[in-house]
Amino acid sequence: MTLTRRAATGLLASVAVSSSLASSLASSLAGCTAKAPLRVWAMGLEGEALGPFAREFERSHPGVTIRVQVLPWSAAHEKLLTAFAADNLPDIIALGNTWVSEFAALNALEPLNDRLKGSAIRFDHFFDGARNAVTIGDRILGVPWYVDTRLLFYRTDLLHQAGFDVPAATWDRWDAQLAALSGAGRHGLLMPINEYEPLVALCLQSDDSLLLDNDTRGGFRQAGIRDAFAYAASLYERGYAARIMHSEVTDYYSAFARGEYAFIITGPWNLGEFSRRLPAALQDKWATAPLPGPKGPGASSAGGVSMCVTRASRNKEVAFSFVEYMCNTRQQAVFYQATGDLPPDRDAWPMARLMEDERTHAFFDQLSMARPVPKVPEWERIANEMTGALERVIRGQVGLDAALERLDAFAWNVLTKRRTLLARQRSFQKSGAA
Amino acid sequence: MSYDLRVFVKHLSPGHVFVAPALLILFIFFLAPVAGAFVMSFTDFDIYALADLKNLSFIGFDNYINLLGSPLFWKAFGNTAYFAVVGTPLSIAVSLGLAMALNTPGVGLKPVFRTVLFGPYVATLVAAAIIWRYMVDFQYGWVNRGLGVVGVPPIDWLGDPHWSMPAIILFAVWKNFGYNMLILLAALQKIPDELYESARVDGAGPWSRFLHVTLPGVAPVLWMVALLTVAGYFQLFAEPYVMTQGGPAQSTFSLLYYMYQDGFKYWNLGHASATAFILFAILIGISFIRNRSQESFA
Amino acid sequence: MKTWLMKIGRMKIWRMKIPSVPTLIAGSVLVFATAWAAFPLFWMTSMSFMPEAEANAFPARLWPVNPTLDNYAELFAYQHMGRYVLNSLFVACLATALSLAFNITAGYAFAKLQFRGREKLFQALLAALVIPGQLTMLPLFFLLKNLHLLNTYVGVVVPFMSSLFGIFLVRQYALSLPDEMLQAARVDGASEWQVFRRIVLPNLRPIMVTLGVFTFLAAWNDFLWPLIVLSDDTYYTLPLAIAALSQEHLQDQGLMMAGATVTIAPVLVLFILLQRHYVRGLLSGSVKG
Repeated sequence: MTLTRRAATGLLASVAVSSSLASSLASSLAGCTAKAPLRVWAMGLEGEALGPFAREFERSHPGVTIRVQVLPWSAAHEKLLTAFAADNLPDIIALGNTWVSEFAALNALEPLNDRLKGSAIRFDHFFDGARNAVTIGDRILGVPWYVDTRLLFYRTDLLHQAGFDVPAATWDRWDAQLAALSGAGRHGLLMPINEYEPLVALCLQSDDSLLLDNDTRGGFRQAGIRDAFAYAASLYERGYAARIMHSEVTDYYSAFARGEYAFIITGPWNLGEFSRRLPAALQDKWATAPLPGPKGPGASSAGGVSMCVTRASRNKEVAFSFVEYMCNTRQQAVFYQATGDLPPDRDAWPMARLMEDERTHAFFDQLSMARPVPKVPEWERIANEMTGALERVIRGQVGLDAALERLDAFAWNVLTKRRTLLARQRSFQKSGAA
Repeated sequence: MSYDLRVFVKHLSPGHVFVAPALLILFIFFLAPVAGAFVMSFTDFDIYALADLKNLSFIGFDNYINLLGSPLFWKAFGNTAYFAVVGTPLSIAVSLGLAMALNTPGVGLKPVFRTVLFGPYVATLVAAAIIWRYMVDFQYGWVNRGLGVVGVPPIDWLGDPHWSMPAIILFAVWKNFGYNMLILLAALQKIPDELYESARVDGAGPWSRFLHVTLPGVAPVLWMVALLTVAGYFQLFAEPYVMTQGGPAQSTFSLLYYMYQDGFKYWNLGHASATAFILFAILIGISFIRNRSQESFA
Repeated sequence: MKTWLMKIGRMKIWRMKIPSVPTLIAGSVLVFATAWAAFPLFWMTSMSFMPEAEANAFPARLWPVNPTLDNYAELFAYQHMGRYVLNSLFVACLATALSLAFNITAGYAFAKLQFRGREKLFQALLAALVIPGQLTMLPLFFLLKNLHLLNTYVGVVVPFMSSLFGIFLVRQYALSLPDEMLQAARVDGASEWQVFRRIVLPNLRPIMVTLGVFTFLAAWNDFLWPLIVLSDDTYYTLPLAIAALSQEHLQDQGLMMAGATVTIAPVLVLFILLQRHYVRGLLSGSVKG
């Protein structure tokens, strides 16, 4: 009982003071600028390239400061969801198109229909695939910033040496070319096993849909999808594609330069990287071509990144004006010059002289054939598991049919909640109608 | 402060007041969340519920049933057990060997050796994992070059599903042996020299002295250290997160990685909590063995 | 030639004791193991001073031919490394301060003060030791969200504030304080708080240093929890920053190694300076706990 009350309260007070001191220190460190800056999150190289545009925007908009945070692609999805859960989404997210539906389901994105109407963004001139990706129901939840699709980058000289004039348009012909370019420790194709985009692209070439019944179950055992998986697996099994993981590919530019790969399935950001990183002597020896399909030039995924304004943003007006600033026709052409990322606005293509360049023209053709992936929040998980299934087949752990059956079971499991929610909605509508 | 509260505080003994802040913090930030996780593991808390709590419901044991029926869970469990079961004896062997070397009379520079040997343990795990990614690189890494010197063909450590876990184990042994080494060294130093002397007088060779004097002398500590290491190794996460992202072919995908991916990548919190509790059950099992064995040693 | 060799041989025999076989074996094992333990850290440091071309050279090099600070310059100028260093420093110091504030009093009370329920409480804490911290992470995230502590330094150090390990460590040490000393002060009319301030705290100083070093190192090296709590890179600590960097810049090996060096060097230095205290904590924390 000798302990004084003063000491007791002192102890407790010191606890309170130290924690509040720390949090106030934290907030004062964070809020160095008087006005809260506009926070923009973007992924990878484009995120790094966004800086100068943000500075320019600040100059023409006094009083506005922009803080760009660059997320690594491989951790972006988890970072974004964590930020949503933490109520810490920035004002603008440059969101991968395949993730838009997920954030729409979370009700995290601000519909832009009205703001787009009077803006400098000519939304109706954009590629269908890109527009489709950001439109959920009748709400437009983002503005496509750049588009991408996967196609072939290839070494023209190696193809010529192997006796081919043009890259293949069909799987059969591609097999012949890859056979000629593989062997003796070399692989014709670089397609990292755990990157799902190329595999999804091959699946999209079939007429079958990846998910069925209003996207509530997997359709992986359909003939068309099965063919795509079998074909993808055969590329590795026959040694045409290197069995490596994304994380192992440290420097594929020099590997491509050394001729270790004649084909790489990749996206438009590499137009710029190839020009920059490949030796000068190789600069006229590489080209691009649409993905070969089962019967002719095939479809590919409608990828890309769209700028979305979050509902949580306290400054939607300014946020949208930055989106407008980045996504109008002229700026899309300028951004292409800066990064090599392709504009979603068709009108920006001639402006950036993209139609004259054969390498980019291939992208225009491929983009016109692009098909969207299923628009459900669970898609990211399912797509990741697709590569898991393919990998197990390639490594001989399970047969193709067993793997696809497991994949369907996985999708069924992942989509359980979606089925429940849809059923609840239906019964609600029914009871509402009655 | 209200009157009642004041009376209450007056009747507390000083001991209560001294432990109160720490216990309060422990309760709020440790025990309450554990209870929360337990409740969560019986719900379907996911991103839909994150958006709107109306989408949350209790689903009983479904998460556990689902988990125990999922091949990925068993893959993660198998990998984690592999890591713990192979990694622990290796770590302990290295630790014990070096502790004995440090305990050998006549060796100079012991403080220097001890400090340097302990260095890896203090080094930041993430940074060390990055170094080791380069160390075990197929073409470029020193490990393969070292193996090349003795005629072993290069191994695709992080690319081959059979070698990725050994690579992680190699790294973990390097990273962790220092800790157990110091504990075992302290235990070795407590073995009286007379025991060795009398063994020598009885004509025991080095191996026999090791078996009959050293091992029994450190056995309780060795056993405890081994169980603590197993428990620690069951919590494998940062190594594969930085070095392999769980691949190739999910060969380094661990239980905790599963929990992280489920929980903080896909926000399937109910499912992830169930994973965490299964991990917890495993750890309780290990500590149960420890308590039992401590009793028998005592 | 021959006489010269003989001379050296004779000198050795003459000047030194011939080491015994076990000593020779132990010595060479230690030399080999030390090289194995230190090599990755040595290579990291060496490579961090290599220009890009040398760092990427094949086969890998041991020494920079033209040492450069470019990698560090790039880190601090373009990758905000300065901020991350300060963040890490602040987080580690805050964790240390809070951990000392909470654990010292509690550890002392469990060792030396009599109060109702002490043994039961202590047994409960002992039992709680088995609970892995990861179990708490999911709910803790939401708790911190409601307290508005996500994306703050305080949020990062919450798991360090009061720790079972810390309480045990202090208790173990405080048990050795002589009761007579405390009793004498009480007889002189000092309140418990005064006893704690004037007598106990000064005597606990060694274990405070130990607990401080432990907490500092743990907070500095922590990865999973900050990864979850911090989505805003303003607050990133070094491990988060270099993990993010490694996902985008893996091909820039010199840069990565410089980042690793900046992260590891401070804790290594701290350990070397305070290793006596660290080792004491390590031994009392695990052998008896």
